Amino acid sequence: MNGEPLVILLVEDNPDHAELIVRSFEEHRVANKIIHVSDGEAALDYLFHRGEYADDQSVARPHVILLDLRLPKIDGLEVLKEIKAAPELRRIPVVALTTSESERDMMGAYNRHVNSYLVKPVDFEKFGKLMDDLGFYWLAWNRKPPCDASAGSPQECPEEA
Amino acid sequence: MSPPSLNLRSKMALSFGVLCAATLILVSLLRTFGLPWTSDQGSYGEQQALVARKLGLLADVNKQRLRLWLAERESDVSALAHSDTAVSSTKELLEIVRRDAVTGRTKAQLRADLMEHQSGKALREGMRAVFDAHKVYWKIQAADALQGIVIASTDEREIGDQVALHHLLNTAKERAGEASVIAAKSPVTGKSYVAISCAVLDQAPPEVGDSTNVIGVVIMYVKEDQFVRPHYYAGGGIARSEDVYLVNQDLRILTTPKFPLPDGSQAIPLEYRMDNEPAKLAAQGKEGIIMSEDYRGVPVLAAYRYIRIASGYGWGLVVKVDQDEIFSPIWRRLIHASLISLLGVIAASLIAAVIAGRIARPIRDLSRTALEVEEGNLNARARVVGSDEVGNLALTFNSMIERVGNWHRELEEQVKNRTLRLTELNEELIKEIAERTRSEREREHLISELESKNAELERFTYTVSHDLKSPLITIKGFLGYLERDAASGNLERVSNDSARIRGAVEKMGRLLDELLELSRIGRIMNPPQDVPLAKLVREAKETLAGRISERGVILDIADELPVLHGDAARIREVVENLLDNAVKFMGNQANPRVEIGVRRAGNETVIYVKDNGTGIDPRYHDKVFGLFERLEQSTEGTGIGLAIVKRIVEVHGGRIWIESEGVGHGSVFCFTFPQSKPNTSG
Repeated sequence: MNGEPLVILLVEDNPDHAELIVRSFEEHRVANKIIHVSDGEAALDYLFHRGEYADDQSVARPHVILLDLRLPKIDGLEVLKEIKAAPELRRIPVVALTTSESERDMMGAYNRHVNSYLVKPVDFEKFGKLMDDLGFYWLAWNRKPPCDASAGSPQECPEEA
Repeated sequence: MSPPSLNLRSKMALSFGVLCAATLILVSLLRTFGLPWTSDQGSYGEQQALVARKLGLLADVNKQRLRLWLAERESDVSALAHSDTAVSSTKELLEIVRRDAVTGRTKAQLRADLMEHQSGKALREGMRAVFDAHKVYWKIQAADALQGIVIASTDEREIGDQVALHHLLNTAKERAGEASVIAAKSPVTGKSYVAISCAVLDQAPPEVGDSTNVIGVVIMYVKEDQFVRPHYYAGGGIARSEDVYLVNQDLRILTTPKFPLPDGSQAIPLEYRMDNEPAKLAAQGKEGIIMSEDYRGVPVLAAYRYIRIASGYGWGLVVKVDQDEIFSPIWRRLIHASLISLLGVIAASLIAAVIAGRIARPIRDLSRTALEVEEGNLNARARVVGSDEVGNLALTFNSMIERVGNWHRELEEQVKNRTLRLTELNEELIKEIAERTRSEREREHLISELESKNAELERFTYTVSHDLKSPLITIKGFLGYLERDAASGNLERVSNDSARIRGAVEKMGRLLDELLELSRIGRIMNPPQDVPLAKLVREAKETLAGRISERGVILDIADELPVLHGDAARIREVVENLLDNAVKFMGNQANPRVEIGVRRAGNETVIYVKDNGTGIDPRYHDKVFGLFERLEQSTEGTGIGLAIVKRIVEVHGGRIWIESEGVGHGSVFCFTFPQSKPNTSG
């Protein structure tokens, strides 16, 4: 692995959960940089460089997005839909990370091209293991699309026919 | 007149007419053409046979006469040729011819020599005697057999000349001693005639045909009119169109026919060719009767005969009458008979029509009555006339109508009863259907209600499980960290961990309480009563006094507020919740202000709670009333409050909604609610 910073965008409304996730990642040294936003609108603002993030030069395109589905303001499924509809964002792996095991949420997420669907385990050990595996899988094992290899540089990738 | 009787009458008249006409036509045809397969030939056949017989007879007579006439001419010429005078004179005259030829005398001198010689005179006298005796000859001449020089003639001008028809010499020589007849045409005058010739012999020949001692030829020319006479006037008087004609071997006509040709000209003898069937048959040597056409192209009945003149040579004789003439009386008779028949047929038809009308009248009456009955008049009766078949029929018919009338009345009675029963049944059925439709609608309503309840329950269960799971994860997670942090002695972290756990547990408790509360709404209700809104607002204001004063919110409460009707405790909850919400979401507003008032919208009274706080994006106007929905993570609360408010309002039959132009423009929570009936304020 090279030394480039690995960026995770964490979209999580529950501050407790957010802390649990961040702490897990820190313990397992998964990511160099975790950006946490707590609602759907903020997530989209971040990704599309608007609102609060319009003039923020430090905004880096994440390598992976962890997305809770039940979010204030804009719902997680809606956020997912917009990400997958945007040509410059659709290649970013989006992992749904939620407490919901409902069929409707799963189908909704997969229908909107979610890359992975994870249910938060109640058990502490399992929670930690999942976070570890998750980080390792998406940030180490998973090969990123070549033109997006360098995070933060919104280099244009040619659209396939 | 009604159509059926007219039909009957015309049918009878027509059939009578047709029958009569057919019979009469058949009789006429049989009379004319005879009975088939019998000897009866009918008038046509009889006439044909009769005329044929007459024609045959006439033809035979003509043939016979002609033959006799020819024989007479032949005997004339052979008698003259064989007479001693002819033989000796010829010898002497031949001498003169020979001598003159030797001495080179001219033709005029030869003529004079022949004229003057005694023998010449004698021969001419003999010829003249025959000429005068019969008066049929045009001329008679004798000629030298070798050179054809005329040595004597009744026409003295030609003595010394050459014979015009040289081939006659050869014929005479060939048939030495026998007379021969030939039809010929003068190359000089163009006149046709018959020439009969016979050789003059030196002495009796050893056998016929030996021409060694032929010294001269005698030729007799018959005048055309003389030649025609024997047959023309031998006529049987069969008809005006009767005609006789003769043709030679080549079908050239020998006599002038009675009628002109189709082009108007007269046929010229020996030129015009009789190219018709009877002439051909006759010339071929056949004899008989034929229905054919003649030289005018007119259909004729003709008898034809062959007249043999020499071996292999003969003439055809045809006697004919026009078919038109002989059959016209028959056609005329047929037409007369047909006309009379037609008159008879018409008369018979008329009589038949009259009779049919008489017979049909009672039937017509009956049919008219039947028509009346058919149209519904069961009291109509047919007139009974006489006691014949029709009279009986009328009687039967009348009694039948009587019975039909009885049945009809009976049936009507029955139908009336049945209809009555049917109407009753129908009304029952309509009622039943209405009942069923109503219960069906009710059922559908219940089902849809149940379905929506079900869906709501599902949603509720889903949200609840999700939101209850969240604090559980928090608790378990931080408990895990708490152990580690406690073990590692990181006290700061330990206190954070336990604070997190405590918060989650509290939140869970609150959640459970509120859920319980929510589930009670609509299930457990206090009896409805009139609740003055003003009083509730006052109480809520007291309850929230701390928070209101803390934020420095100015409350503007309308003077006149309605008296609501419902569960007092619940209504208080609504007012408190809305006021609390309004105060809570003031944001950074420097002059926070909340207004509670009433406005009329149509015939509804709308109660509103208006603030000048953060406001709500129109996108989330519906979402805020959802269970566990929060617009901001930072604010405390479980997200059940507005769901409870909505539920209370709806359980009471009211509506609740938000009016806000968006973030920064404040928001207005509006709701309608049932009001106290007698005290409705305007």
